[in-house]
Amino acid sequence: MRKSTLIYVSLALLVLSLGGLWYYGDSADVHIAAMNAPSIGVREPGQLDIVLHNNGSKPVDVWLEVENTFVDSDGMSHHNSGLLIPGNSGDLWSAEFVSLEKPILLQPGNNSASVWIGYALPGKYPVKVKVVDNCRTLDEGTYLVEIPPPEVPENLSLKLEYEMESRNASYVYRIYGYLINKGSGSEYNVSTNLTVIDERTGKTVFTSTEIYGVGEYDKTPLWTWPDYPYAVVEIAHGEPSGDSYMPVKNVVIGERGGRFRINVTSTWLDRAVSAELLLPSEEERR
Amino acid sequence: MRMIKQCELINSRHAKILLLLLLFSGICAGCVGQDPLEVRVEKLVRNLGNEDQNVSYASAYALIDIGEPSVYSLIKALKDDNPQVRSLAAFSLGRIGEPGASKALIEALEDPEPEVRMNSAEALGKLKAQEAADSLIKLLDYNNVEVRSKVVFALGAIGNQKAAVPLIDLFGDRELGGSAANAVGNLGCKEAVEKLLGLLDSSDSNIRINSICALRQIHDSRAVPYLIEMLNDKVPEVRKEAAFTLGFFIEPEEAAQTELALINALGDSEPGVQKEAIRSLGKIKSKDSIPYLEALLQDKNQNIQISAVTALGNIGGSEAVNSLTPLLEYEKWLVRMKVVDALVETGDPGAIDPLISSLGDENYRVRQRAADGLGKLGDQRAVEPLLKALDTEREWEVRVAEVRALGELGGSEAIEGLRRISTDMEEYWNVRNTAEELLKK
Repeated sequence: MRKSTLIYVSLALLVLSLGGLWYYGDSADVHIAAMNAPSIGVREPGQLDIVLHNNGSKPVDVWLEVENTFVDSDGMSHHNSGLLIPGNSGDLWSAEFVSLEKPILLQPGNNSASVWIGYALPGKYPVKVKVVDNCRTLDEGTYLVEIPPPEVPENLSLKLEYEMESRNASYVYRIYGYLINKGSGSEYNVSTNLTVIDERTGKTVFTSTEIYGVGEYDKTPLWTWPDYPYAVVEIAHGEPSGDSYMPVKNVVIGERGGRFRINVTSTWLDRAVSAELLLPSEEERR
Repeated sequence: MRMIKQCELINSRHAKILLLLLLFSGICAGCVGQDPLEVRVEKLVRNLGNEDQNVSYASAYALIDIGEPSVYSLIKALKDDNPQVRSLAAFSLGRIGEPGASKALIEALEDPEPEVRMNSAEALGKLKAQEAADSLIKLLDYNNVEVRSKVVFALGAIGNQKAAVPLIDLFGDRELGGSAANAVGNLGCKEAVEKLLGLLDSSDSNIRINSICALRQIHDSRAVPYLIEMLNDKVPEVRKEAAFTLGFFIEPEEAAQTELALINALGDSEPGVQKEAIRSLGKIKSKDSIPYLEALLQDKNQNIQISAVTALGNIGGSEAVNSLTPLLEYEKWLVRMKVVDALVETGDPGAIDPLISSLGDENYRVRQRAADGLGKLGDQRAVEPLLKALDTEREWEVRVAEVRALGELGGSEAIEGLRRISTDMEEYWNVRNTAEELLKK
């Protein structure tokens, strides 16, 4: 090889080395200092908080690329639309929601940013976070979000109460009921059966089934329309009132001397709870 | 001889490799040297032309979010071959709000594509670009109603007084007259008042209506006598607009002029006019109208009845409370609910007892409003009835309102009640939670 050719090749390599040095030497010194996501349940919105540390002495612009922040019931991951940048006050409402395309200006030291997360099914979801500056990856990390299976309530209770109104020749009993959960866990598929039994014949005269849901430490009324009861029992001492009691669907009309056992049973998974009323009550019959 | 040597050097294989290496280094340096934000902005601007509207609009909103650094590329995009890119570029520039974009946007008003003109006009309105007024006024003659509509809004937003006359000339336009009137109102141009008063004699009822609308927004008391006259217009919509507008002149000297005319308008043959007259009497707090409004509480038309209830609430005082209270027995819950709202609005101590009785109303919405109202009025007499109502109330929305009212009223008895509710595990979660929150305050 000629001497001049060697010089040219050496010069070219020198230019490349200097370019590489300039390129990598200018790179921002940013890394993910911490990631944390407060625990969330199935279909609950949450956020992954990311602490980014800028080790340089000047503010730098970076972008975040995040994967697996929203996963639907088919296991499909959906695009995350933006980032939450906390405001100066630290108040959640002062946080700015910005596009992922907008650079985050990192001041020297620690900086915070958050992304919304949400999952339709229980499981473990690795959220991949990449900090990029143009086409260079400055740092990347994975945070494992664990979505526990929903807790099922251990015990539920049923409470029935009624009001009696004497109207013309009838006694009208308005029955109200509640499904009560005094503990943790929630269940949104509580099948509740209403059975009305004629005490004189022992025959079932009315049945209906509805599905109710109940949250933790909460109660759910069994009625559907505000100000209207769950069920109505009219005991007519003469002609029935003729009232349809709409929109109440659970309506039983009996005659003088009639007595009805009102049984309500709620079942969820392999558990059940019941409550009963006898109308008219012993006291009213006296 | 020397020349030959140089040519040999250039033609040699090694020299070509060297040149390629240098070229490659140059490209790398160029690539690395490009501002990363610039690269992203350029990509987003290209995406403005994406056929999928989700992508194109998401790109537009990302550019808006990036803000000022994307302005230069967006201005350039106003000249793009793709009309969708031009249109969304104008859309984005208006929302970024960078005044420097106005010159390019004014040029874009000449774009062959109506949608680009539309978004450019809207953007100029958002920028409040005074320098765009002349170009926008010219565009009022354009043959596309959607473009003209955006131009009218933009002129109203810019607020340049030059636009007043061209906009007033649109008052007769069926499609744009209303927007033009609002735009003139936005200009707040006192010089336009005389012209608008003159237009009240127009044979076109649309022009008369739109002139009244503009006068309402300009709010010049010179208009009051003319508006009173318009209560006798032969077209009901004009009378209605005039009755509505008079309610905005609430200064004592203005109200003194309008009160009698509005009371007379209560006898109008059109319920729409009656309703606006009632409303305006409430707004000017006309005590003299109370007996007339009381009579309308029994009107067969529920709209009139409810308007009278609301007006009495606005007027306030014990006389209004006495007129309203009997209506709490009315069969329709909507009327009873409005009476409860009106009683709260009076702020009169005499409203407390009727509101307490409404805690036992058969309709939960009435009970809820009564509880809300008792909290607002802040009278300690309501504490015990609220606690009693909580013993039997079944609807959670009403219970929340009652708990909130106790929180607003305060005092040892209310606090004790809240404490009880906050620990009751058979209580609705949100009622218990509301009580807990109030106790923390």
